[in-house]
Amino acid sequence: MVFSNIFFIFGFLPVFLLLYYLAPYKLRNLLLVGASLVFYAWGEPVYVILMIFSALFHYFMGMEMEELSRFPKKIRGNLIFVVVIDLLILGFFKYYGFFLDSIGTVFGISISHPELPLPIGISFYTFKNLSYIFDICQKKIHAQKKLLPFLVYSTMFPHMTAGPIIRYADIEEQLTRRSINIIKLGVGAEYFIKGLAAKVLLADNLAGIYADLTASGEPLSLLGAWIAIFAYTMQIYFDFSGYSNMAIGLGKMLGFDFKKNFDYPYTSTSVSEFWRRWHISLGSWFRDYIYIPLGGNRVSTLKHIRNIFIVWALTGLWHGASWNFVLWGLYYGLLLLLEKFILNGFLKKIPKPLANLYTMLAVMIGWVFFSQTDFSSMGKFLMALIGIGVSGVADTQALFALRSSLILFLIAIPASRPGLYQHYKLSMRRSPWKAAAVNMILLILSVAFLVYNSYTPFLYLKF
Amino acid sequence: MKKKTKSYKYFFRNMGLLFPILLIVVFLISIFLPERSFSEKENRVLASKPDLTISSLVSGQFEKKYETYVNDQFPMRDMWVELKAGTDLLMGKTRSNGVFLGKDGYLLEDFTPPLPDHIRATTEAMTTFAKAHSEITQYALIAPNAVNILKEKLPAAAPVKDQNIYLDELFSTLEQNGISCIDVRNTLKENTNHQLYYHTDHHWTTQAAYFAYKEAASKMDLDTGICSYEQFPVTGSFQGTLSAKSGFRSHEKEDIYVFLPKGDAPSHVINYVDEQKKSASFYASEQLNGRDKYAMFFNGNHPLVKISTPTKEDRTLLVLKDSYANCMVPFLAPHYRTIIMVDPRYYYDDLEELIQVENVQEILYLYNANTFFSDTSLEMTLSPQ
Repeated sequence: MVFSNIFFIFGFLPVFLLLYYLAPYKLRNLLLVGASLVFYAWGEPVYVILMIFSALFHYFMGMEMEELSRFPKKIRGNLIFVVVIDLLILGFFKYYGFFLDSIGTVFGISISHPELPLPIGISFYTFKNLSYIFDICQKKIHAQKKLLPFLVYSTMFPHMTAGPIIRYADIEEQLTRRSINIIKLGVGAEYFIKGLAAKVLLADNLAGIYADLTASGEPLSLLGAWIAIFAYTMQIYFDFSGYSNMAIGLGKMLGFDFKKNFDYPYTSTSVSEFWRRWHISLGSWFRDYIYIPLGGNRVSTLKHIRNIFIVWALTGLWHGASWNFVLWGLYYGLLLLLEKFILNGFLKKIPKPLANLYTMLAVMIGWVFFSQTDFSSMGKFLMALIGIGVSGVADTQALFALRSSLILFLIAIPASRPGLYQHYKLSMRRSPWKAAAVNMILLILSVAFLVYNSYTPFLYLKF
Repeated sequence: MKKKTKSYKYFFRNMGLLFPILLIVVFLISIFLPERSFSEKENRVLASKPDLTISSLVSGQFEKKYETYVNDQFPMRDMWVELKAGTDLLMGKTRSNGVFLGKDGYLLEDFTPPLPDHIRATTEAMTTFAKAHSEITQYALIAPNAVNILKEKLPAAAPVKDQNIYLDELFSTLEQNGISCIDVRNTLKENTNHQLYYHTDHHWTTQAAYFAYKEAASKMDLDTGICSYEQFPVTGSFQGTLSAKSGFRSHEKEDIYVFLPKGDAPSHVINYVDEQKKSASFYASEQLNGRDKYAMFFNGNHPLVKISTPTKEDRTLLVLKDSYANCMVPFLAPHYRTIIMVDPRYYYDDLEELIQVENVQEILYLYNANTFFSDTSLEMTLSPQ
């Protein structure tokens, strides 16, 4: 199930919230785990078994490793075992086809393989469960001895399918002790609606503009290429951050506090700042469990550079089983090194808007790598952005797209920056009812767009 | 005076009240609301509650169907659809589902250029057929669409492909192979002060068909003097397919006119062969009560329709056509003793045999460009196998 869905919002959620709020305190965890399994199994009834397996596996391994805490060697063996199993699972379900295709390309043969559908959220829950094990090893946390609280951590539906990648330490206490009340419910509702509106009203419409321009596969104009990548840039932000906000909101409704996952990344004045503000829970996962164990920056310059490239190639690959994502990751690795060793002082000296413009250009070009899975269309798109191989500076396609998207852009740009929301926060305090009404209007509009998804007029024997 | 700022608490309390109340109220309404089986607005059967079986649950089919069902049966569904369409308009959207929201209330369907192989196959079938039947005089009237004739009604910078490039090439190929083309673009262009296309539908009006008929008559050597016409509105509540398809102007209703002969008119017998029905009128007024009011012309589309008229000259015309023909063929009827209309999209019999048996002397391809360029059935009817 996904959050941006009529059945979830007006079927699953009201029933679950009602039960959750009415249930005695002690039953809430059981209820949450049950609902989470239903949530996951809905539409994925087979893969839910994999998800449960992963949860149980890490639960038992966690306890095992806690007991072995005085025998570092045994811990090491166990850790390797867990990592290997997780990589095998992830490798089989996510990277199997990619791996065989890549081998095939290298040796010039084609290896046929069945196309497995990707289990929903597998990258998210595997990483979340792994972080739990790592943290036990590093003695940051103690293993959870009770199954139910661990299952709450591992399977809870708000962040099950698309993050944020919650750390055990951050919610350990809340797994057994958390309170709910009408204020928290309201905070959660505000987060949820903010995320839903970003996803449904902004991201989905921006996606349409990108698709309209690129669907035909014909050469774009210079203007068209920039409109397309700008629309994509905005779309992917509102899509990812919208989903994170919905997850955070749902967590609040249930009494959890998740950390924020996106912090206005498009206001950054450098690429390194961008990655501190974009998908924070993922970036910090790679930092804590790959980069720092490899030695981070406390090693020779050469090793430091190696570490950066390893981390960013993996970050890229995490986003999808395709080489363009690896390239996208390496591109950021390169940019970060550039900033670290060359551009750092310069970026601090130039005016902030200029530094922000540089960052946005770098990020938008990054999204070209991200959006184009095949390399020849990626090359064409990059060329189009500098006016090579285009149909002209502007064509009717581009002008029409600009005309149709201008208002959307004029809403999306301030919505991706803090100003508009700060203004709204002020109105929350000045006129609480009016501000709530604005929020409900956003919800109602989002619902209209969701209902419209199934608008399919039947055209009586067209012509 | 500046308003006092309060604690966030009040706002969040409001949200904490409104949000769950809305969810629960809508949930309860949707449970107790009787199921709606048909949507007038969308002209389709709405999803009903799917049957739960183990296999459909495990495969995920049940879940998918159930979500569609909840969406389809959502309380006040039409209101939500209109709210979305209205928001789109406010956001400056002028294209939806391949339909442009044009000036003066015109909805114009986009033109999709034909695939090269596809159009080659159709023209080859036509030219081969023409050579094999050199004794039959053959005409082609491929009517331009609103997106072509009413270009200036399109929203500014609408990225549409030029239909004329494809029509010009088609006409020149057909002419070279002995099919004479009736190009009605100029006559329609000269008469844009008349209403040539419906505002909300993809068809041309009877008025446009009349202009096209005049143009055809000069090519086909027909004496237009034998009959003069008066026009009458038959309905004022026609809602075309384009408004349904796009969601734009969904409340717009418009007129359909028919042209009826002045004074004594010849009597016709219209024989719907497959349906085994006969009629004395080209028009099926009962269709005006339904949604697809354009179907009042010849009662919609049929595989094979035979029109008999007691004329002096014994001429037989075969019309291979789409629905644009339905409002134009009545003008041709007084000139032929027999007109046979074949709609290749629904016709599966042997065309050769039909031509032999009926002793066809003339053939007219009568299509609109959008259908002609996307159609594959004509080629299959002309060159079976």
